[in-house]
Amino acid sequence: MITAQIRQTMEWLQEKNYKSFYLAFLRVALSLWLLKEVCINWSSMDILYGPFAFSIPKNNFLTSIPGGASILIHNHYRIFVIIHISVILLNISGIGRWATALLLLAMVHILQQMNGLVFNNGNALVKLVLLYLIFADSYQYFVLFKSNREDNNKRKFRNLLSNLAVLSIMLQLCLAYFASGVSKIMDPYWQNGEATYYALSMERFMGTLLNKYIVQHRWIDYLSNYVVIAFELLFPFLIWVKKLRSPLLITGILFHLGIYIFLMIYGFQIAFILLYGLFLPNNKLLKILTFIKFDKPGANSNVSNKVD
Amino acid sequence: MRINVWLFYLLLKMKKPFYTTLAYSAMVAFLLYWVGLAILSMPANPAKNLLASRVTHFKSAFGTTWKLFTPPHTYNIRLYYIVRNISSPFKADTLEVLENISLKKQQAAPFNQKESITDALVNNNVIGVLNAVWENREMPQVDSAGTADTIYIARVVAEKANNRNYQIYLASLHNYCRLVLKENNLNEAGKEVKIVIKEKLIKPFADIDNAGFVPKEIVVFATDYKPIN
Repeated sequence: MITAQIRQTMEWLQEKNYKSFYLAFLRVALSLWLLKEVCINWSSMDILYGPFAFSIPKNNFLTSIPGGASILIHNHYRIFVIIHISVILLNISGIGRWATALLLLAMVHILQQMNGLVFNNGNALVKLVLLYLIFADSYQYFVLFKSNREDNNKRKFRNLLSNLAVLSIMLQLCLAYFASGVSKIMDPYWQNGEATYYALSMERFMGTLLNKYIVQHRWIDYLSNYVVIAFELLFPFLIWVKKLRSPLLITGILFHLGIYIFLMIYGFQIAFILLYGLFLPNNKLLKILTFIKFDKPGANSNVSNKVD
Repeated sequence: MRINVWLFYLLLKMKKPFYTTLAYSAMVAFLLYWVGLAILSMPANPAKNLLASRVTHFKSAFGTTWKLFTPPHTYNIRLYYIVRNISSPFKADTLEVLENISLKKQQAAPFNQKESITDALVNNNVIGVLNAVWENREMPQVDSAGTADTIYIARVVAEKANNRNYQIYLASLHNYCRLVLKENNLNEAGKEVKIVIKEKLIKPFADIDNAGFVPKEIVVFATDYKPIN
């Protein structure tokens, strides 16, 4: 019985790449997000990575490379950043496939090691998603060159890896929310409904002039506090219920928009919202794509009616 | 030729079992990875402590802690650079930087990437110093540090003087002092600096309606004077 169940699951996972379209979109969107990060940090590159950056990096694998590799990279950081941009562009166009994806992850990791203090949980999430994307077949759309046909066994194995990668990204998002929710219910400030009051009152996160006004209303403090906890704890479980998916995703978008506007934490929110698309069915996304006529004839052959 | 054909046939025959084995191996790796990651991502628990001590590389690579604003800070941090001439130490300039950075960040929002970077770099170095110094120790709780508190802070700071992380964070703040002096058109030659970190309390939630609340500033870290160059 269990053996049959396992075999059935394996066959289902190998049958097709169920999120082929959104994986391709995610590859391009995350690459563009990384490109945006480089562009908006351009004027601060010296302070971040240059030889005269005031913040000293902690011991890491870069500083442990003999021969002063760390100093070399810091002295010539602009060359490194240009290579980073080139790898991002290769990843957007799908050239080099998984090898480029691996290289991109390595470059992001090195940049993080060069000055880890500006990297937050959003960056950590993006790094993990980049890792999972190495295993995913995100090259059925938005690529310069289509790949050659491969034999059935190889294709099935690739489908399996791709579907496991998709599942990993979805689980990662759920885990991030759930772990955060569990931390919150164990904390006295969150238990008492006071935490959002303090978060919105902190000078360095005071995103609008309204913050000071909003926090004066206890009912808003309590409501926002407990809604955040409920959302983070329930999302990982309820998102798998088809009927509740849309309201949850809308709540999630509002939640992240709230953090974006009122707490001035920007890139973080976009990274989270981008992952929401994986919870939408491939066939609906493909219909939208066909509707806006970016699609090539025959793309609907990939439409899956079986899986959401 | 015949051997080649036979070998090709054998490889063709083996291909399916090879990919089947690979598929099941991938599935096992996936399950093990997710059990490990789920345990490591949760707040402190015995399974996490046990696993973290066994798989240190796995933990450092994947064990991100997800706890945004937990616990929330109930204070704003103030970083003071007290700068004076080494030759005539009777007059000092006091420069507070974090409040100014926050204001600039607020004013430039949402196009405040530059200000956000400075904010993250300075604040995280300050928090790094505080975490290194007050790890497993109780912080001072009084707003006007008496002699006993000053001695207590100095003693704890002295104990951490050889801590590598503490040295890195403090050296970063020392480097930042040079930038601050430059921004304020102050000459750094022949000067020495004392770094003081204070916590300025946010009005407690219970006192929301108390219009007369005066926020306390508590000294939580202070160095001796040290030459800037």
